[in-house]
Amino acid sequence: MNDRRLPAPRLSRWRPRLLLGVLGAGMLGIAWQSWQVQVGKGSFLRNQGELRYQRQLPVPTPARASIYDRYGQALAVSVPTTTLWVEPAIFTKHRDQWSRLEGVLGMDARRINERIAHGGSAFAYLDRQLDPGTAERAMALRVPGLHPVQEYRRFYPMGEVTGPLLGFTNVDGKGSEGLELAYDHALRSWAGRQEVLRDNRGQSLQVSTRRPSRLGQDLYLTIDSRLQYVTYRALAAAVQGFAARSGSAVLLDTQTGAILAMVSYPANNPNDRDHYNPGIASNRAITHAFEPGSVMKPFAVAAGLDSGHVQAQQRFAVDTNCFRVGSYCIRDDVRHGTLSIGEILKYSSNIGAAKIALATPAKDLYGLLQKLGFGGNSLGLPGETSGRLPDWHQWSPASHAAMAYGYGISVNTLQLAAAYGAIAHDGVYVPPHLILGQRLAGTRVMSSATAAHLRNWLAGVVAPGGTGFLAAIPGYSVAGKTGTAAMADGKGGFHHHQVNTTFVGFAPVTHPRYVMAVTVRDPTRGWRYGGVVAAPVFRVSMAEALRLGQVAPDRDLSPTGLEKISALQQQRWAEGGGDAVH
Amino acid sequence: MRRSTLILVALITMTLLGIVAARETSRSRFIELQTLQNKIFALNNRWGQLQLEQATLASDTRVGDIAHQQLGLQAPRTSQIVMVKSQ
Repeated sequence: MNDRRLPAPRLSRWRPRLLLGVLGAGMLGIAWQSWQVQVGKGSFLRNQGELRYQRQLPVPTPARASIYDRYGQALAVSVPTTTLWVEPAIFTKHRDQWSRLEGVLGMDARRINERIAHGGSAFAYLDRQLDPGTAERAMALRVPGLHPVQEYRRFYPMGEVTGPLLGFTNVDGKGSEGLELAYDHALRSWAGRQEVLRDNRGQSLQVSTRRPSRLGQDLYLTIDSRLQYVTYRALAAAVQGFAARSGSAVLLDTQTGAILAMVSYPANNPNDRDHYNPGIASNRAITHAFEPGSVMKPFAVAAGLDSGHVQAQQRFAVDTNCFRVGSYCIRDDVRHGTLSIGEILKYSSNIGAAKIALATPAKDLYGLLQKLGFGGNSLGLPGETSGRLPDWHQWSPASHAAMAYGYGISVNTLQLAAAYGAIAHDGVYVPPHLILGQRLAGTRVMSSATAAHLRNWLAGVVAPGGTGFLAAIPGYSVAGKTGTAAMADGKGGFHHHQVNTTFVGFAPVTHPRYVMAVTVRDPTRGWRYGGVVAAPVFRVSMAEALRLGQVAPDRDLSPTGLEKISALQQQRWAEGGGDAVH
Repeated sequence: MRRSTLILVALITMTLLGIVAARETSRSRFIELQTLQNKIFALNNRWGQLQLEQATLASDTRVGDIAHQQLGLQAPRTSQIVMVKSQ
């Protein structure tokens, strides 16, 4: 083996030093640059990066939640529409392209100028809530400065039939009236916001932070849209036929207190914002308080019986033209001799009812009226009135007596229906409710025996010869009470030629399923009585409710005692459920 | 090099590759999520339109008007109703 070694090359001493120096300088340079990037210009560069890759993106706003009836039929739905807006500074420089846009949008240059003038320098609405097809055609013209934005428009398939009940939303989708206003917070959806990292193709890669969008909650009402429609038409027919000012009606399920129909006429069509009339927007069934008249008589009887001061078999002498209480003279339309309680209700004797009320302590009558929801209780809807029930300590003998035939107290149509529901439901008052599943517990307000007596007596009111005969439904037993009350003039007196006509009743009498109250305000044509104006609305709507509810008929179709009724009543009877014209 | 060091290096390399793969998966899943969310949004809107269409076509007002005006239908009078008792 050759163990001779090559002599070690002689390296100059400066070369490694140079190398180390260069490497060291390089590393220092990198360190310096790192420092600059990370710390020195760190925040600037991070911002620049975020500007290029991070985006604050609005998550698309979900539609406002829908409102449905008890069977899932849509009553209010929001559908997407497109709103076109312009940047006036750019848009006005391309007037030559407007003519094509005018053709698509159906507006002339003058109108376009008006719209632009309404907006600011950077933004103006050109056309709001267009159907997406039209907007797409307009955008396809590629007019500079024209932009689309998605919005929703609320539609109400039943139009004026549910108009006053549901209310409506404004053009920005916010509830303005009725249920839309009361449940605005629950129904509204909110747009979310997300911060995303995007790749060079613009695709989102990763969410950095995010506020989720909030979906509004759908609202299911106890309303049955078919009954709502039938009731509306019947009410409209009565208001038109008797040239009345307005009307309202409420149909309830006696067992649960569910509101199956709540209508008001005349009404706005909420789909037609251009012809909105604020004067007829309110839901009169709850916003309009009135003195109810004779429909209150059964409650005076109930208070008398339950307090033990009046007996069911008792008879009352009403054979006078004027029953004086204090300085007031109480009169009956027709003079009678001595009447049983059933007859007092059947012939609607004011004197008899006043005598029953005066025999009953004021405290007991007041207590019953209060428990029946008068002067209180509400659904929590905008504009709702609780009516007026004066405290019994303030009652004079005259106001005590007047309470029996429905003066000195004001109520709304819903309260009347719910109070009669207690008679129908064996003396248990169930507060009405409008939202499906929000049923409230009932409370006993009168004895079962008293309720049974009243059902029997009120059936007499609808029998041939009673004031409420036009409410009779062929094939079914019906009970109810008519009311015709002079309208208060707001100065402590009454309009003697203006009346509120009312009918409240339930059916079938044996096992009541539905209770309904109808009020027609200020009829000016024909016989202006509750039994003539309001009772037919009850008959038409209740007949339909019984049919749709598959309630078996409990009476013959041909009534006995037809000879006791007038030719008009016979004609109405022959019409049966009848057609309600609209 | 010691054997344990090699294993450690291999594990670290695998972990790093795993991180890259997971990141890529999460990105593609996110893109998929976004696509589906947009689809839900579009379908919800379509559902609203169809509900409106159904409610308008089947509305009692429309059906009633067609029954009265086009078909000449009327509610029966009392004398025209025959009640049939079930057996």
